Amino acid sequence: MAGALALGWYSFPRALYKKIDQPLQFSHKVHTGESAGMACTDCHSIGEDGRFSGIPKLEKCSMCHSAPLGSTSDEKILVEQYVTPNREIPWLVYSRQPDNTYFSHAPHVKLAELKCEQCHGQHGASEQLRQLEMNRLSGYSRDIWGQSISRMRTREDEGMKMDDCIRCHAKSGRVDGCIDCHK
Amino acid sequence: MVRNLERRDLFKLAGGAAVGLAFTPAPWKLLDDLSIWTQNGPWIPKPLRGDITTRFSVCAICPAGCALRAQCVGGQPFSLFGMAEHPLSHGTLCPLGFTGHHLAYHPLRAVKPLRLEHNDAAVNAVPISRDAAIAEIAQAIQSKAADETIAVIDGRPGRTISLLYRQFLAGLPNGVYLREPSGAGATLDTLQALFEKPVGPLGLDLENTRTLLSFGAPILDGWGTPGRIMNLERNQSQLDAGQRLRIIQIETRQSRTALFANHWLPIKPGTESALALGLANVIVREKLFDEPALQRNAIDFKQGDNRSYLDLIGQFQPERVAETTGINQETIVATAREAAQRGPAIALGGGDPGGGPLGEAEEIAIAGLNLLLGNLGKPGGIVGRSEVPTPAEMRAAAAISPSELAAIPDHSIRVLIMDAAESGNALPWTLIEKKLVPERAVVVSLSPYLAGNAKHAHYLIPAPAHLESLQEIPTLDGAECSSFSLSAPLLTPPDGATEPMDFVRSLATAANISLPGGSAADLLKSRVAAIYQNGQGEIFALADKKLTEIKEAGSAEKLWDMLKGGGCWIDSKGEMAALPRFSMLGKSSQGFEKLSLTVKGRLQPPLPGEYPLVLMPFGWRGAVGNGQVSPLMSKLYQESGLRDIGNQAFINPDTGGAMGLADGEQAVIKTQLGSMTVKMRFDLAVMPGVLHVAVGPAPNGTESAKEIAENILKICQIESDSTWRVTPAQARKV
Repeated sequence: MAGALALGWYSFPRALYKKIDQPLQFSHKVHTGESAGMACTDCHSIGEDGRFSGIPKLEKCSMCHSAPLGSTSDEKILVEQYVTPNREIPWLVYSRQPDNTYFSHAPHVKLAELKCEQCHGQHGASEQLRQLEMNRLSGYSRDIWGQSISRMRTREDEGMKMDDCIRCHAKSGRVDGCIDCHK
Repeated sequence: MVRNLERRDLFKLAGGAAVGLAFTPAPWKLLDDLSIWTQNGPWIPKPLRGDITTRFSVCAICPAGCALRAQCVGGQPFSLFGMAEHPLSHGTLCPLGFTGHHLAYHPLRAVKPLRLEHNDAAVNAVPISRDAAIAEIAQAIQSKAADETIAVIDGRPGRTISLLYRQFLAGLPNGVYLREPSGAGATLDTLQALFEKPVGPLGLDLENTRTLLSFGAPILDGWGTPGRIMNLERNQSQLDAGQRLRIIQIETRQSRTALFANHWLPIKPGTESALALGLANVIVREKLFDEPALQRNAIDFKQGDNRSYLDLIGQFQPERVAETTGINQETIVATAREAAQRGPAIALGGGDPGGGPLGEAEEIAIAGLNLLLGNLGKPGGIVGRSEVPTPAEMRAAAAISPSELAAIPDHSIRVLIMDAAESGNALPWTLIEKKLVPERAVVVSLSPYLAGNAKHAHYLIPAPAHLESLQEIPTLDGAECSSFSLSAPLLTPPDGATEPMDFVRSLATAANISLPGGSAADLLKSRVAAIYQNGQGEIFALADKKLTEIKEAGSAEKLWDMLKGGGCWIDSKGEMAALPRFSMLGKSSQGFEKLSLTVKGRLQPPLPGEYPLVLMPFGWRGAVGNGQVSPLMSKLYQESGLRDIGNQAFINPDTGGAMGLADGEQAVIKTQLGSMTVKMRFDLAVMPGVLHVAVGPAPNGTESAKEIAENILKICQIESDSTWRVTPAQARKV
């Protein structure tokens, strides 16, 4: 029984998730710090039509990084492999939802007035990008299930499954229909 | 000390491991992941990735033609919305329209031509090449006997393809062009038929109407363009109480319209004609109409042969009508006075989308009421509008006139082609079947789905599904002004889908019939060019979201681009020509007798002892069997009860209790045509002795074509005037 418990609680999560590196490292801290002085909305904005820009396109990076800014290996990868050949960076998205799920940032940020950190934690201040833990069976990121394999949540923003959406909506008195999120 | 492992130890180990694992997240997480894994198979359609864009089109699920704004990813729509500035739909979409982009992926979708082999109740679908299918259909056309006909049944007359069908049929001996039984336009069509000579298309100026007598028309639930009705309702609050529209709903069932109307008159099943003539009796007796004006044009209002309109309505005294209809005498008198004195007033028939048309006698009685009310050609009444311009090369199509199924002799159709477009109303297969030559008839369906009447066809040549091809949206029945829009495709059709225009052209070639050349888009362009050259009306363009004179478009090509981009053309208000003479009893020499017979209603009491109930099917536009509903919506309806799903039956608790039925349980409904299992629901609003059964949608829309039960229409009695709305029935516990 002890072996099974150890297997289920310790080995199973490690076997289930495959860790994948991002194509290159990126520091939010450097960009939002004093040297660059950028605001979150410089790259992740909500347009007038309510559309969220998501992860910025290469065009945005190229505005400053047409030539290497510094001597790090990631800077070199950025310029040589992506900016110069004008190839989009295949960022791995921690929050990618199933295809039948529709999520709009605009009502959450503008109407519900949620702070970015409420869902994304301190990602905006991170010095490097963590590995994406991809579920070998479902193909989704571990962030969807939440870090705790037992779903015993330790943080408010942990998990992005339908239950998590419903829990938060119920708290704020929202009543939803299926087609609010499943288009 | 070494101890040998025994079998018991292995059991202990396995048991302990199983218990231990059950206390870890592993089995539960694996279950969750496996269920997700099954949803990621290669058979699941994958939305595209790419830029988020907005595209515009027009909904073509039903004839209403509501404007669409589609949010797309990688060019593929994932969410549909209305367009608030649109002058016809005012930003409104119905639930079917909101989920229209799911329909291309419907589980009952057919993606290649099929030959359907019918063995008893089973259907075996065998793939066939398009050319082989067309050759076999052409062969059937050529082998028809002299007294047999070739027919096309069109769900949406007035389109360019409708003209092409008519031209094709005109080239055949015994070609018949059929319209599906009309819903919203039934009363106006009947009025047309009463005139000595045509007066052109008619519409309803509902925006200025003050009293609307609706004989079962679903005015507040999918009638006309939903946005028009919602806009009208919204504007009511700005009017004085005396100027507001009052809707009087005359209907057996407490439908949504009955629920939200100003006044609901629950009427006994099949007695609408008696009430309409009873109201006319009061209006005439109390001289609440303009007699000189009526006398000028009415041929048979008052004549000396005892068979005039006056003689007819003389039989419909309020006390007698009260007995027939179940509506008390005082209410009948008060309703007649209100309609006559609180004008402009309109009387409207049409019937329920599932329950079908009211019938010829009822519509003549309702049309006569309109003539008495004197609302023709007046603001707030029935007004004239122009035809949508047609290119010269297509006008020859008018050589063959539209017919109703009711007018076709039984067992006369050798080859029947059922068009892909849906009218949104039910059409029972039993009605179609009556008209086919037994054993030898060939039925071709162009539906994109292997469902509804298409399941009974011999060939299915699937058309592109909703939003997969360019469609035209001509004027909707009942609209005040003519209009024209284009539904631009947002999706790519599968290779096996065939445009109905291409099908009819190929069939014409095989049958040596010459049709106008060019692609489907070319024909539509020529119609748009005809609209532009006509120079009348206004164009709504998305660029400035305003209505401007059509000449502002600059050229026919620019008008085409505007329409393809979600714009629409709206004609200016039409003028009605001087009223020609009309017959208030209909043109048939038996009109007087037919209408006199309605004094006791359709089902002359008492009902046969074996069938003590009256079965009345009902539905809502677009969800009555042939057209499909997104599985997401039908699942939602199944779970929420927001809509009544197919084969759900409603009965008064007293009636149900007396028959040994129980609320929520299954029951068998039997008529002379067969029996069907339904889910019984008790509802106090149901009239005693009546059984309302929903026609559709199918319970959750995810079954295969073989699994879907036939809808209740299969056991509804088709009467001699091709109606099916009242059938004697019995219900018993399963």
